[in-house]
Amino acid sequence: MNTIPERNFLNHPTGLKSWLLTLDHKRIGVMYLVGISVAFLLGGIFAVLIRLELLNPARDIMGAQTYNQIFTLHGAIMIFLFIIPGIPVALGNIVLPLLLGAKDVAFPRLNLASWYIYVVGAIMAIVAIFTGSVDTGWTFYTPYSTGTGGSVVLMTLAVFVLGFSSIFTGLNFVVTIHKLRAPGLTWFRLPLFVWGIYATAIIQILATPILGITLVLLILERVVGIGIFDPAMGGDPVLFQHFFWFYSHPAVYIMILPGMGIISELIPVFSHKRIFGYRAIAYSSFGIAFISFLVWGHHMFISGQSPLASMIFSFLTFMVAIPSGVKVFNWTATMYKGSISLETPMLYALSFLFLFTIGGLTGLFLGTLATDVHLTDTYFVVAHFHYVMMGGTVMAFLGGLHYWWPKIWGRMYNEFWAKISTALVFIGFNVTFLTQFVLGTKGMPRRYYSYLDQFQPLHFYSTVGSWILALGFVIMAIYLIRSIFNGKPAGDNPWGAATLEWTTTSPPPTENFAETPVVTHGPYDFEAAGVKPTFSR
Amino acid sequence: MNTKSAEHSVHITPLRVYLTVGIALLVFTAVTVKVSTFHLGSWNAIAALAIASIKALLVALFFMHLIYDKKIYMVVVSVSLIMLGILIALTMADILRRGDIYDYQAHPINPEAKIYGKLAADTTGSSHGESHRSSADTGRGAASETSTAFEQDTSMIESVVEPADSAHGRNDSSH
Amino acid sequence: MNSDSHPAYLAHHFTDIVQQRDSAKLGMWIFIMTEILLFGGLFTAYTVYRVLNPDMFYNAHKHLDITLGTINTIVLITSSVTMALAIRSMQFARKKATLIFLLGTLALAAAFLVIKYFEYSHKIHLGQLPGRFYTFSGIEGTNPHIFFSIYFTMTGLHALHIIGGMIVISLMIFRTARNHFSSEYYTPLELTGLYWHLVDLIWIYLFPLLYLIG
Repeated sequence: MNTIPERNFLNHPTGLKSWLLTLDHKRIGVMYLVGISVAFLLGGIFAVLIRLELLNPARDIMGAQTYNQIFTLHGAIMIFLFIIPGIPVALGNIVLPLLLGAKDVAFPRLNLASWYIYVVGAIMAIVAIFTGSVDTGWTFYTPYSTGTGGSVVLMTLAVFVLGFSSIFTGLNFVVTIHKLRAPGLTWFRLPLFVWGIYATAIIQILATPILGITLVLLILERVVGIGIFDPAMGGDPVLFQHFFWFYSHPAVYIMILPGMGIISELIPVFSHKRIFGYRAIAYSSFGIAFISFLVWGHHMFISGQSPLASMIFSFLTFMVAIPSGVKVFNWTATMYKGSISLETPMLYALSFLFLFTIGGLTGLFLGTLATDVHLTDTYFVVAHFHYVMMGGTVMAFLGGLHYWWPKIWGRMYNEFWAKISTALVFIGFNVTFLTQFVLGTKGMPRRYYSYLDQFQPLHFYSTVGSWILALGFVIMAIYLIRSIFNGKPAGDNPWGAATLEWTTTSPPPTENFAETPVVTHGPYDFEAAGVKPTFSR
Repeated sequence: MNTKSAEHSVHITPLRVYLTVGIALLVFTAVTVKVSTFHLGSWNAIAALAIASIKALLVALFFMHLIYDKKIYMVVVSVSLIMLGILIALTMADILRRGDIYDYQAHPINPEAKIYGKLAADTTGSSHGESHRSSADTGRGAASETSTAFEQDTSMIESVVEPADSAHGRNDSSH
Repeated sequence: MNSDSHPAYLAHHFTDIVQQRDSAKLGMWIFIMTEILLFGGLFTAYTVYRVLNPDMFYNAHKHLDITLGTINTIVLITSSVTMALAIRSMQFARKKATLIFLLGTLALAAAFLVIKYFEYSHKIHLGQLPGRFYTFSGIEGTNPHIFFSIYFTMTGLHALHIIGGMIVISLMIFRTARNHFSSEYYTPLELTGLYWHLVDLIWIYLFPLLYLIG
C-alpha cells in the first residue's frame, strides 16, 4: 500500500512565512505553477473573448479598439507570463535538482528572487491592463507603439522586469547542471529533459538582454523622443523589428525546447524502451538553440528588409527544421517495438508528436519567401504558431504535469476524467486551429476585428472549437485540484521510470534525497534500474 | 581538509603581471588617441577597434583571469561575442542592401494564369501562351504578343507590375 | 554529512568550497554574458547609424572633449588595477591593503562620474541633447541628434553600471571591514572584480567609438 510520507516538502515546515521566504526549489516551483496557471487562465479568457467577437463580422461583444487591446493582452500574457517562464519554472524548478540527484539549485536565493521578480512583472502587466491597456499587438511594432496612447511604457517595463526573472532562472539552471550533478551522473547519462532545459537556459541568457535593451529604447523613444525608430528623425522602424525578433525568435525555442525535453522523458517510459538516438537528441537541442539565433528575419520578409537578408534568413530557417526533425524521428523509433501504455502523459506525448509535426511543417511554407508573401499576417500564421506553441509546448507541458504530478503531490489524479479532458483538449484544439489554416490560405488577415462574410462559417467552427477546448481545461482543473486533497497515494515510482526523481518519496522530503544518490546506469535503462510500473487504475 | 583543496586550486597572479598589463593598457590608450589624429579614412575605425580589442583582451585574460582559469569561462565569453557578431552582421546585411530592391525589374504577370481564367476565355485565341520567365538581370519584362482585349483588361495590372521605362507590348517570344 | 567541519560560508547544498566557488564564478561569467549582449544591442544601433551617417558622426563627435575622454579612460584602467590589487591583497589576507585598494577603486569610479557630469552639463548647456530635445545648430549633416541619442544612451547606461558597481564596492568595503573575508574565502570580492573589469571593458570600446572617430 502506498502512503504519503509524513514529513515532506509540502507540509514541513509550516506557515505562510515558510512558503514566502522559502529557499526550497520545490516550493518555489509550486508557487510558479500556481502563477503560470493563473496567467494561462487569464490569457485563455482573453482568447475566448477574441473568438466570441469573431463569431460575426459585425460587433458581437466589443468595439474595435477594445478588440485590439484584447488580442494584444492575450498574446502578451500568454507569452510573457505563461509560456516563456512555463515549463522551466513550473516543472524545471521542481524536478531539475531531483533529476540531478542534487539538494537544490546552485543559487536558491536567486531562485526566490526570480519568483518575486516574476510576481512584480505580472502585477505591473495587470496594472497596465487596467490603466489604459495596450493595443499594439504583443510585438509592439514601431512607429505605432511609439505614438499610440495607452500604457505601453508600463507594459514594456513589465516585460523588461520579467526578462530578468527569465535570465536569472536560466543562469541558475546552467550552473546547477554543470556543478551539482550526483556522483556517476556523467553528461551522457543525463535525462534528456535536462539537456532540453540546458539548451533553453542558454537561449534565455543570450537572447533576453537584447529584448531588455529593445524595450528600453522603445520607452526612451516614447518618453524622450530619441528618434531611433522614427523615420522623421532619421531613424529606422525596421531596426526595432530586428532587435525585437532577435530575442523573440529564439524565445519560441525557449518555449519548445523544454517541451521536447519532456517528450524525450515520456516516450521511453511509456514505451518501456530505451530512447533511440540519445546523443542525437541531446546534440539536436543545442543545434536548435544555436540555429534559432540565425533566423529572426523570417518574421520580417515583408517589412522592407533587403532581399539579400531575406534570402539568408529563409535558407537558415530551413536549416532549423533539421534538428527538430531528428527528434521526431528518434521519438518515433523509440516507440517502435516498445511496450506502449496509453496513460494520460503518453496521450499528451502522442498528441505532441502529431500536432507539433503539423505545426513545424506549416512553418516551412512560412519560411519560403514566395509563399510567405501570401501567407504572412494571415490566419495561416496564427494557426502555425498555435500548433507549435499549443499543440507543441502546451501538450508537452500537460504531459509533463500529469507525469510528475504524483511525484509533486504524492497523489494520483483520476485517470478516467483525465482521458476525457485530454480528448476534449485534443479535439477542441484541432477544431479551433485547423480551420484557421484554411482561413489563412483563403486570405483572412490576422488581428482583424471584422472580416468578409465568406469567412464567417470557418470563424464559427473555430469559435466552437475554443469552447470545447475551454471545457477540456475546466475539467482538467477540477480533477487536478481535487487530486491534491483526495487522490490515491501514488508511491515512489508509479510509472516505472529509471531517472533519479523516482528513487525518492512522493512528495520528496525538503532535502530531496535521504542520501546522495550514486548513478550507475543511463536514464532510460529500465532493466538496470530494476523498475516496474506500480500505477494501476 | 576543505580549505587545503581551496588553496590548492587557486592561482595568485604575480604583482608584476598586474602592473605590466596596467601600463600596457595606458600605452595603448595613448597609441589609439594618437592614431586617431591621422587621417586614414575607413582604416581609422579598423585601427581603433583593433587597438581596443587588444586592450580588451588584456583586461579579460589577465585582470579577469581567463588565462589562468578553467576553459569554460572563455567558452562563455566567446559564445556571447559570437552571438553579438551575428546580430550585427545579419542586421547590416539588411541595412546595407536595402536599396537592392530598387534595381529589381518586375516580371509581368503570366497572362495565362488561372486567376485570369475569365479574361483569357474572353480573348480571341491570339495569345500564344508564352509564359514569361524573364530573369531579374535582363528584366525587360514586357508582355509578349497578347491580344488587345487582354491588354485592355489587364492594363492596370501591367502598369503596376512593370517598371516605368519598359515598353508595353512586344518582345520576341523566344522564351 | 559532517556539518561541524563545515565553514559558515559554505552553503548547505554544496559539498565543498571549491564547488561553491566555481559555481559562483560560472554564474558571474554567465551574468557578464548577459551584460555583453545588453550593451551589444546599443553597439548594433551605433553600427547601423554610423554606417548610414558617416559624415554626420564625424562632425558631431568633434564636439566631444577628447581630453576628458582620455582622462576617463586612464581613470577606469587605473581603477581596474586597484580592483585587481584589492583581491590580490585578500589572497594574502592583508585586510588593510584590501580596504585601501577598494577605497581607491571607489574614488576613481567617483572621479569618472564627476568628469562625466562635467561633460553632460556642458552638452545640456549647448543643447546637444538626444532626439527631440536637440537644439544645437553647429553640426553639419542631417539629423545630428542621432549621434547624441546614441552617445547619451550608451554612456548613460554605462554610467548606471558604474553607479551600480560603486554600490557593490561599498558593500564589499563594509564586509571586508567586518572580517567577512579571508585568504580562503573572498569569492564576493572576486565576483565584484569581474563585474568591475567588465565596466572597464565596455568603456574601452565606447571611448574610441564615440570620441576617436577618425
